Amino acid sequence: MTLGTSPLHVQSFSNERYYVAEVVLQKLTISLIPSAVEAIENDDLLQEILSRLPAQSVFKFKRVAKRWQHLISEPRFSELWKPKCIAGLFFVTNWYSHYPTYNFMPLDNEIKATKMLHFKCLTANENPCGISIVQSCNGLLLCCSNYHNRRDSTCCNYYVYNPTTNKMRTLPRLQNSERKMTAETGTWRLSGDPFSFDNLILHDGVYWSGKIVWLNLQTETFFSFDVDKEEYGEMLLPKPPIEDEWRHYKIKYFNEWRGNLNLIRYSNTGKMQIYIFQLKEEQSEWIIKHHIDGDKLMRNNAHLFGNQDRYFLCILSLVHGEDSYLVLYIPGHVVAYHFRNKKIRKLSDLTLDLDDQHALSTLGWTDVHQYIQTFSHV
Amino acid sequence: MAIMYALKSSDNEIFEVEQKVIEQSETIKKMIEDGAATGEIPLQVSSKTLAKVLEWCKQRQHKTVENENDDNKGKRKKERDEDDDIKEWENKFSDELKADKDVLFDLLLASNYLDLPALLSFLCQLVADMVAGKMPEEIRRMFNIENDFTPEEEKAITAEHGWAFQP
Repeated sequence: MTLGTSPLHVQSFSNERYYVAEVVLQKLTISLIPSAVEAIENDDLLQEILSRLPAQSVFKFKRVAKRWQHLISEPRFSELWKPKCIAGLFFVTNWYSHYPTYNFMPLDNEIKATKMLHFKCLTANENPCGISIVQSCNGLLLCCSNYHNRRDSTCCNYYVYNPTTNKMRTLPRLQNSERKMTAETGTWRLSGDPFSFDNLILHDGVYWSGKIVWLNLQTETFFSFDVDKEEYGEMLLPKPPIEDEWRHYKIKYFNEWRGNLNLIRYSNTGKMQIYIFQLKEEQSEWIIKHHIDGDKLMRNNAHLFGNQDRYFLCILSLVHGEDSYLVLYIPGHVVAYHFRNKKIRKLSDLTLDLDDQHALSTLGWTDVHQYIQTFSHV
Repeated sequence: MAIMYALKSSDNEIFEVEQKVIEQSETIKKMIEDGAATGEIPLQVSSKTLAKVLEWCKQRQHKTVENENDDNKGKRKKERDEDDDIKEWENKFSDELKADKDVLFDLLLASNYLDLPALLSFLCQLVADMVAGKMPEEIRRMFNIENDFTPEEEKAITAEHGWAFQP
């Protein structure tokens, strides 16, 4: 099912300019390169080339010819096309209102330029209560029709939404407990026996090396569901490191990027300290990738923090890439802290009301979802 | 003494190449393993293109050999320097190809035929960068592609992905 068009989509595209361009081109003598024509006629080569284009170009080139449209729509193409970065974040504000607000923050220049507004139309579409995001995984969002009961599968509808292609599918209603759905040959089906998470506080599941991995935030142990074998059980990964002085340190972030598992442990009591860990390739231990000292950060960026006795900051997400950074909220702003040069860059202004700020200071930011571009079918 | 092979281009030029260099091509490696490669190996690649292919393979080979001879001490720094060298070499290589698109696409076809994944990937990225900002009309002209959509179908695609067509 395709969502209703947002104002952005309705805005008609003027072809006129390009007709003019075509006429001009016709007048020029264009020398065709025979080997270029031959290469492009090869389906594999064309798919390889298209899979290295930014998403925007891929969508544009669907209009070249039917063959191009077909090659882009094939499942093989969505496997070939890999996102270069985390393109944005969805996050909630106004938790306590009846209609929490979803904000979208672009992190990638391409997204900025295109002002992707799909999500606005998602929230406005057909659900008066709004749609909330339950989880994000590899670019697909699991959404739910009832924000305040979003973990209760019996009283709301679930959708799988691909914000890149703007395609959504409604999942069959579930009867009880938490289950997983996996996509197979165009249909979503229940995967494995249902299992329950009673009395466990879990971090959102992360897809990693063929398994969905959950982190139990109380025991700090892992368990997983093997997607191919449809089996679940304890997962023997080293415990996230903890030292005596870190007693109050909580795990805030647990996610995967390019095959590496990362997690963030931080303390908000007393001195703010943030440790970013990565699981070693041989899975023997978690190593500290980065450490941020909150006091130092504030001293070095007094212009952003203002003249406060007690500063406040909150982790939104880790963003990997050539120049990795941490997205943080500090009162009034969302900022990026770059590990390489230890500098803060302002991403946007954001003022939260007191209720929200109070919730953040006790719970941390709980509803943040990464937007990763993907051509996966839903 | 390194084992040498003679490659024969489509225009009958002979290239003497070390086995290690040419084994990067899965196609030729298989020919050698099957024992089909005795004497000259005839290839459906022009001498101009084959020379370019070998230029790439020799550079890659050079890199692997150096890595094998390294001890661990100072390896990281050396690797970094080498990465810079390779980047520089690749930039030069791609500049030449960008200036002569005939060679670029000949090379792309050859890398596909010879099954050289690293070169293929490198070239596909070059072509992708070359076409990325273009409009469908320009692409059709560039590759002599007939527009087989009806105006309605075209409109539908534009409407579905409106944001992508914005400048």
